[in-house]
Amino acid sequence: MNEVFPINVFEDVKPQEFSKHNKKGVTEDFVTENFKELGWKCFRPLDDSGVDLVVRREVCPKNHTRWNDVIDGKCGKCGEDLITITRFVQIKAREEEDDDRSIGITLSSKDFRGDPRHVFLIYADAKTDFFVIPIYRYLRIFKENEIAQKFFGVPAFRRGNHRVYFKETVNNVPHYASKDQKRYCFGPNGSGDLTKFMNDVGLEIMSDPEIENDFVSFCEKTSKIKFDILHDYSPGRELDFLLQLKSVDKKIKEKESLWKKKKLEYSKAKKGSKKRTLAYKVKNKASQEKKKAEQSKKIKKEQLLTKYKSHYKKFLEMKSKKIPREIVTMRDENRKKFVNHNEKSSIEKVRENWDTKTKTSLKKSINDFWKLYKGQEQL
Amino acid sequence: MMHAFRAKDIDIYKPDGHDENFLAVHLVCLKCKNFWHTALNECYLCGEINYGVGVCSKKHHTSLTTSQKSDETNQKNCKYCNKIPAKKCINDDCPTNKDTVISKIISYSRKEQESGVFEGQLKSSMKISMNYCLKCGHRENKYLQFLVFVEDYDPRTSHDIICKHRKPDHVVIFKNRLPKSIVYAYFEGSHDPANWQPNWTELSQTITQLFS
Repeated sequence: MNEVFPINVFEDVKPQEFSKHNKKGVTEDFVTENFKELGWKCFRPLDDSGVDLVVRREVCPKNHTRWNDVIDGKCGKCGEDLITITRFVQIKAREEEDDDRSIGITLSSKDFRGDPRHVFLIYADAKTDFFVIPIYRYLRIFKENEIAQKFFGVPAFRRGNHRVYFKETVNNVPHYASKDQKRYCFGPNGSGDLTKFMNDVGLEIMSDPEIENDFVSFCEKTSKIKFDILHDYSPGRELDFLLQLKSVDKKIKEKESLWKKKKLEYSKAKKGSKKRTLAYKVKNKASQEKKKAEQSKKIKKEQLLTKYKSHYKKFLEMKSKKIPREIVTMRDENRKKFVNHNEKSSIEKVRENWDTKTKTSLKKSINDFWKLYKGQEQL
Repeated sequence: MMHAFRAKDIDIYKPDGHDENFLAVHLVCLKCKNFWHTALNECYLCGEINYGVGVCSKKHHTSLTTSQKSDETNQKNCKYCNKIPAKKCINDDCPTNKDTVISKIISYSRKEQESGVFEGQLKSSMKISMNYCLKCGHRENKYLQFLVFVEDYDPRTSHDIICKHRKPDHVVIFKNRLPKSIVYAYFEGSHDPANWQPNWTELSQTITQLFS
């Protein structure tokens, strides 16, 4: 059986020969073939569903099965009957970006499922390395390193255009990595570490049947951590317009131009002259005033950020405290508006026939919408 | 057979090989098994969902899926006041409708009709993929999956077939060709084959029963 995972299953073509426009099918094939080599049963989607590959394999329920073991029927170590595990793999294939040797991926809120069997497989195709990260572990890395807010709380994430970069670093080799192994990190000071999810090690983590052994508990934990992370608000650049603080900016610009002027006067003054000594003092004073104005802006900015953050936090806490029944009741109450809200309009009383038609159309629209998203009663 | 599942919005995964089966999967609520739709957005601040309805500045609701577009603006105007409706949160108590600071943030540098919570992907940061079940309001979800095997029904062999599929996520769908129609029955691997009797229905009913 294989000694290495992944292996180059396509010996006739190099991954670098594809562009982002034609590599999608190739990437999925590459990943699928690698799983098949190890005896996993692979299933490919009929349509685009967000999950690119479903893989199944029999493993020992006591986690005695290693990633490249060939087993059949019973565990060779403990004799337990094998169980079938299923993993739903979302493949993110990216070229390594040459400038800073990093891999960038974009995930949106709909990519985060509450099922702990959902796995992100990030594939740096230029290096043929797989990062295999179960969703629960992925979320935990962010949460435990207190960097979730920066990645999931910002408005750009909810717009679906926030990119996360995993950077390659060679310093601070952790206990689980060999000295020549490179690390892939993200976040401030590389606090989030993905190295331990690379290749066969990641595969081993993904195959752990602990999820199947305690499935409901893992579902609850994953959903909770997902909800908490997605609702930990950070303003990002959303509040920039409110923080532009025009008057302060104007003051800073004035101080800056004065400092530049004085600096020029000082540089032009003859060395050793009284004029130069005086210009030196004036220049320094202008510099201090400029710094003071900048500092004042910084403080004001921090105060405003704190104020808006707490403003959002108040509403998000209210949302998170809602019990299931409250959410259902709120939605039911709001839906009733579709039946009678527009009746309040005085125009409707005048144009009765026309408005009845509108009302019917609105009702039909809602019902059509709910045919698509089943779950509530038709109006 | 696979397309009959697709007609019910169930995702299908084909085996990469020669196996005579397929995987039928849908994300469902962990508590009530109601379908979970990751493409359905909810309001970030209050949890109300997107109904595909526009709300104009006078708070009239307009269907955004059935109303006709105005010739002048090429938009779906409100029929009461002819204003262009925005894809706002329909919850009047939502901070996006009630709170002046939040309203100011979401409407900044945007036209009134584009300042809704459920505006297109890049325009609004106040929406998020659904977090609460549509039916019971719980937050947990899971993939409900079945490995589906399709067999022609023969009363002499059916028992042997189902005995081979006594695995929790296996399902055997039996196809019974009657003179004028085809009827279907299924066996779930998690059930006891000794007590199994075919319950013949149409395929769409069989699929609905399986995922309910």
